[in-house]
Amino acid sequence: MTMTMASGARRSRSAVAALPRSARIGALILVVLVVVAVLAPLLAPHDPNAIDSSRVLGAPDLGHPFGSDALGRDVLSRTIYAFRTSLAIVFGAVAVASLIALPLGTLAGYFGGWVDQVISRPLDMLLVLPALLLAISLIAIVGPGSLVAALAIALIYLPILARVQRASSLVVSQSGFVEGGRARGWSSAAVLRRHVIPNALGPLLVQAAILAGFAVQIEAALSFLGLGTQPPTASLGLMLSEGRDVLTQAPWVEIFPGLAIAVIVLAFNLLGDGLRRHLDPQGVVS
Amino acid sequence: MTNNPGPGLPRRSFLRRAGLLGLAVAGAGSAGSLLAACAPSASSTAAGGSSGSAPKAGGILKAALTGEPDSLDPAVSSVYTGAQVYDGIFSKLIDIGPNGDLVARLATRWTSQDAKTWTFDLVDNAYFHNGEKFTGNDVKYTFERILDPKTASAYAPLYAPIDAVEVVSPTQVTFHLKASFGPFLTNLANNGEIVNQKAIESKDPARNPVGTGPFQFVEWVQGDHITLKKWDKYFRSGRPYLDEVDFRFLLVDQSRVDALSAGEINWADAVPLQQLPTLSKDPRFSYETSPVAGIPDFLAMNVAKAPFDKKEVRQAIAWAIDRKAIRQIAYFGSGEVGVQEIASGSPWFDGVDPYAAGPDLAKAKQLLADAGYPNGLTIRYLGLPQYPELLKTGEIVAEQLKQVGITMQIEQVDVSVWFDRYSKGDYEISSAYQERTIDPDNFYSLVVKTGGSINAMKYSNPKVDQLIDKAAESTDMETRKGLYSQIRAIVQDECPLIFVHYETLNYLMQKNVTGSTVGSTLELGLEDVAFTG
Repeated sequence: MTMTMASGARRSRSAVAALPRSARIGALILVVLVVVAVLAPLLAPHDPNAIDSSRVLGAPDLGHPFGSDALGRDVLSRTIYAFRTSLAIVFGAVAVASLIALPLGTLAGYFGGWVDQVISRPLDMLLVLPALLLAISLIAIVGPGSLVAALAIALIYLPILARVQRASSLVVSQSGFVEGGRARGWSSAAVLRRHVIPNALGPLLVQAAILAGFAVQIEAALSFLGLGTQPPTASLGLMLSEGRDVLTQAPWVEIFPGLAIAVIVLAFNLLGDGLRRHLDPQGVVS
Repeated sequence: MTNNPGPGLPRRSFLRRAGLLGLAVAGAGSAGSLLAACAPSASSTAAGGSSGSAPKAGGILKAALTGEPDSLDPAVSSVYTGAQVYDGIFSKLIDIGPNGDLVARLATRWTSQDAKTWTFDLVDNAYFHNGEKFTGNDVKYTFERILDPKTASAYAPLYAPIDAVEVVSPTQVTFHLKASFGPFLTNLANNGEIVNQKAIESKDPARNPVGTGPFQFVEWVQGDHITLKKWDKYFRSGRPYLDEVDFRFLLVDQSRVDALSAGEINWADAVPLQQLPTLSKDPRFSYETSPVAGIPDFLAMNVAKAPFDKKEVRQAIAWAIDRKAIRQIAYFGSGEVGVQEIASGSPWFDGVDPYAAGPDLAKAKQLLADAGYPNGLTIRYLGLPQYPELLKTGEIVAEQLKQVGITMQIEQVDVSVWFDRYSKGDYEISSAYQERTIDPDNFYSLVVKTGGSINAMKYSNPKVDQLIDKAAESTDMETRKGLYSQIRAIVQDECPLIFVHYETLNYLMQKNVTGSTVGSTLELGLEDVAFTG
């Protein structure tokens, strides 16, 4: 599929149509989820934090299609709001990490030498630390919360994304058109802006999309451990943690947020995988 | 107790750990007074009590605890599960019976010459598991060891009033107290396990407990089990019934229920609260609980910090919360609505509750306006995710406070961080608890008195301090009850803490297990446990 569709001209004309089906499905699911997250106050049938003592661990019914949790709160409404929390954290974290990684990686790859050393070695040190350990350490210092969780995820992703960007800009820097630019007497800034960044961006986007899927899981894990989103705000990981205590009596408290995490991760993975195939330099070569 | 905490340990395995920090020291009333007022323990099923078939000698009891003991040395063990195990290995001079009265154990008789001198006659037929005969010297050694700073016993404050232990003869000892001390006998019955000097000095007492109790220690396989076997020379005739007791450590609630259902164990501690309605009526099991044994959970407010330095703000919280709803939701309708430091079954309970008519939102709003917060305020709640009921209480309270214009932000932290911040006073409002309060002195001298070891509210009132000291010195039950009523009235009005809920304990066992009751010391009383055949 990649081989037949991957021509630069066509890609720019109809970017979405040109994407592999998996990426389009992933993107579609994400669009729906983002709409759900944005419109949460309109879509949620109940106040997500309203406690109802008459509906403690209530089974799913028409008024509460996903049932109620241990505090009698509507699980559907909480799941909808949890999308909001989780997606905001994930998008925020990946966006911050990408925006910092882009200049760092590009400079390191383009200039090489001591610039590369100064930028890459500290990032390599971050890469050595296990992801969750890094996140938990940061939270231990700053204190728990959604914003800190997002920063922790961004910190985990920064070295990975910067590395990817460094590698691709290193390759692009050695190509003929970059040398051409330099030969015309363009400044480094102009070369970077007009040639290197646009041509080296693809792998970063693919990596960011794939990592976003994992970010959902990291956010869930941190909230599950009580280190991310603080109650009573609904987050998918926190809902999983609450549901575990009552799994045998009220499985719906656990199942729906679990499914929601699966759907988000699937959507990001489909998108990332499709983008990878679409932007794969091997494909472009034909 | 439903616990099944994310990263932490179940709540009850932490209870005694709290003791290390001074959270768990108990006191109690004088002997006569406790005899006078007793509260029978409740049994929901006939088979759980003695009315079923008669107990038979023999058998191996497989019991599931909520966690592993830290140590089996009674002077230093600080977790609840430690006491559950070592209680079977050791004996005390006196014990608290199922009805709340003091009963004879290693002491056959105890008399007081004056309120500062207590003489105990001792049994002549008790032997330690290492073969040593029990004498008055062991009593002297036990309490001197607890009071020795080198032992670093968290229970030393219980015996601080002891001036000297005099061995009159091998079968008689006399305790000389520095001052008259009301809770003395109950403290002996609560934490006074008698040890043997030779045994303590020959092997590590944490791993090789040697007592005069009904069972002797066999082995402790870390992370797996502890085995005890019957002590043939136990001084009480006809006890114990069981040949052997195997303790397993099943931290996850559901695993205890599953193991009991599968018949892998005979006895389990702490039924998950959400399963109480079904399991307590399950015909396969006997269920035991008691209105006298448990844990008061309360909201603690830091009076040293704004906004809780204002009495009106604290009272507003008390008027705004709905404790009945909290009991219904967070505790699945189990236990009792919190009123005082002890449960309704305690002889010390007087039932006075100035906030009984609550919630009264109008009154709460008025109090907030009086305190200078007519437009509401934002407060921060320090939450313990390890203890689901407490954190759920926080979430419910946050929702209830919204109605009076208070925004309560929840910050959940790890248990060690919580203890640290709570005891240092680095918080605004939190949920806390206090275990093993048999005598109100325990609660008030530690939690409410100025400078009390766990007065995390930083509350201080000289009048209350004076009343607490007076109540501890008195040995007359009625006088003391009157003094505690006065103390409560002041504390409830000034409101540094709000009792929210009283958690009662429970055990679940196979139908053929008899004699297991929930006692106020939270120990298991294994010598009375038997199979019915």
